[in-house]
Amino acid sequence: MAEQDDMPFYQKPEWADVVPIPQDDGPNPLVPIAYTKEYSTTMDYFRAMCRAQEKSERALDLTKIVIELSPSHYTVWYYRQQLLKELNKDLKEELEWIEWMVNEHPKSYQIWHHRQVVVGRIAQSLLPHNTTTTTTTLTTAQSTEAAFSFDDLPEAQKTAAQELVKSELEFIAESLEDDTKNYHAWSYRQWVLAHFGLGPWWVEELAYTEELIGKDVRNNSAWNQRYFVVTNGPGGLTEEGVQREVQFAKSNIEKTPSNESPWVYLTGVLRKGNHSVTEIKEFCEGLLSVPRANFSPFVHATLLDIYEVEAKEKRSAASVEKAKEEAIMLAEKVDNIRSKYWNWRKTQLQKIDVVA
Amino acid sequence: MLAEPNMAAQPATTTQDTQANANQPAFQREKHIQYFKRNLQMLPEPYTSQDTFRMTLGLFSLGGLELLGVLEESISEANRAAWVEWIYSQQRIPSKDSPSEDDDALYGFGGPFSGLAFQENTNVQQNLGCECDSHTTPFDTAHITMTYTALLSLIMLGDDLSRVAKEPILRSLKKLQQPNGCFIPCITDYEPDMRFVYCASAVSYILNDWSGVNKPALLNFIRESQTYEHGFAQSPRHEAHGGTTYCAIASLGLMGGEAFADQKTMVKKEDETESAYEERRARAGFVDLEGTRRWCLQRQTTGFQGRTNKPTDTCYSFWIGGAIAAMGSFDLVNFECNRGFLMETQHKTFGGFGKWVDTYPDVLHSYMGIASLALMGEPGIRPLEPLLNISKRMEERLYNETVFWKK
Repeated sequence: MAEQDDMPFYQKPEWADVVPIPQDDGPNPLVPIAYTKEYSTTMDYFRAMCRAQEKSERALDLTKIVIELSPSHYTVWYYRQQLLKELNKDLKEELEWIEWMVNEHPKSYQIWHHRQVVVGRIAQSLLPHNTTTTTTTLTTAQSTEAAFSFDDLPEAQKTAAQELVKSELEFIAESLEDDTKNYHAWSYRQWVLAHFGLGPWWVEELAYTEELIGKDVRNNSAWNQRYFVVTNGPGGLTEEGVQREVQFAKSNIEKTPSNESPWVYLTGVLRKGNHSVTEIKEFCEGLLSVPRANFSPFVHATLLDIYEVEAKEKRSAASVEKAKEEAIMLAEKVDNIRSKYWNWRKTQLQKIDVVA
Repeated sequence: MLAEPNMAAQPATTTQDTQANANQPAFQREKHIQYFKRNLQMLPEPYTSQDTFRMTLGLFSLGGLELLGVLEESISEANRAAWVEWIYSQQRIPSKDSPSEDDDALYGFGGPFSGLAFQENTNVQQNLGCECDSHTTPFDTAHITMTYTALLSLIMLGDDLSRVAKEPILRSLKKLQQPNGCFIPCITDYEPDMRFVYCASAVSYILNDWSGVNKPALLNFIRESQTYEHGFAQSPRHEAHGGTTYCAIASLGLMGGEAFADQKTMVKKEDETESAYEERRARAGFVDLEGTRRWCLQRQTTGFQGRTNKPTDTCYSFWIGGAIAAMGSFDLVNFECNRGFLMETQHKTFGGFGKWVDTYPDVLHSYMGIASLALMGEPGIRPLEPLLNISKRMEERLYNETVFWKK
């Protein structure tokens, strides 16, 4: 029935009873948009559904149409979520549609958040004595969800929950193949891990970040995720973890010494583990004699930081001099786009209280 | 007045490098003026997907003309007055039939997409907003970003904000703030993040009333969102990002005294241990501003990137540049490279700016391009106040002519 499928929904008999509500933009609106007739008529019908707060299959279908026209619409997703609940729809099917939508609109905040809501609900339904309140009050929305607990779950439900998490992580990984730095995908991935939080997933995630960094050592999102894993996983960041991560960062720096990501990761981990940046002085000084590395702005910036710390701790004039040399190297040779900043750092060095 | 926090004693430097500028493509000032004027009259069909965010598109268009110094002359008196009415018609206020506390989340400004009747306010004393049958339906809700952009647009159009229903907006902010201090934008769109922290801060500042915001909780959220890179993420533990770094820093600046200025004045007491001092700073909401500044400056490659190892994009010249300006360090930016990049992202035919070289312009990137040039003191552009992201002229108008500030 190809012809009937081409007919706009609002021309079909099942919509005949609906009185569409036009948008009333007044006589002289600010920044009017040149809507197509299809869009404005679709929205006229959508307004009618919203006003009546109709809970029906046709309303659900209409939310899909509106979403596909206007994915950032800020009330349609909520309406759809209400309808999915009221009509007791198959949420697994919903996940399939979201997957399709994510491929079309990977940068929409609302799509990823909708996935989170749906996955949250599927998980909730596996819990014993499903205690979700049937009406979400306006003020609580879906606020601060407690982490999902696997304790006391019967075997079948436990397996189903684990499958759910596994498939979510796979879904996100697939999406990341198209855009390895998609902010929404990474945010959602962090939510999945934090919400369901089992130990083995954290171990696998560490390996996943290593795989992504191996593919693109400049993928800062993967480095950020690694920091998330090592500091938020069970047990947090141990001393053993610090040493392992320092080694990991150093080996990647040796591959790409002018790549900012492993440098800032390295100093971040040291700080988090309560280690001083001076501990990597030898490593940095060693890079000065490596042909590609000696022009890395990050080698010199880190040495500047190290000598500055030493100057303050030991009140050493010699350290101040070494720090100044680094500041000059940065300002004049290796990072001169930021010369004004490095010159300012040099002036700050004069203020350090030293004994000769 | 917004204090200019001065993170470091900067030597007074001239940074215009006029000789270098002469080698760059010209600033297409006239083309940009025409671009914004055309968009004010009608936004082309591709903007349909941003329909619910129309209020923001209005602000970018008005703001662009204001920064280019041609706002009043570009808009007829009839249009000016009509657009003020249109904005007020988007205001949601309580009706006598909606005493429920749950409704408190719904107030402020939204858009016409839900079908509310346009209300022409003929009586200036009457605080007329939305008066519709199903007043408490969440589908007619206001949205925090629209509230913020509506307020600024009203100021641009010469309105004194006397018809703004302040108390319902503040009650809404209270309902929209989450236990962790962050804000959601409206009750139907539960995405708490730093962008809405900024909108809540800007709204509170414009209304000159912070009673809708739990400041300690807000400060704590901001602090928790600073990453190991020292930039600020959308939420704790996410990746440091230019847009959300601007939102965090500008929010701190707008909050003033407790959060921002004190960053440089708080000192360790004589008998205080290092850890006790750190704890006291943490309670005051301290963040590592020196680290933030360095992270921001590190984002410049020609123009600015929004995250480490990502491509440059016009809008980050504003988000990152604005954050640097808010921290009082804008003269550390390399003007020549930044300007050079921006001159390349101008669209040669249509005017406006795209996000990259050889991309179509859109009103957001066009406004951001102009605002970035404003930060650099480009001739033909009004100076910009970075915390509220409006011209200094409009900032003056806020203080001297609007009802929540004027004496």
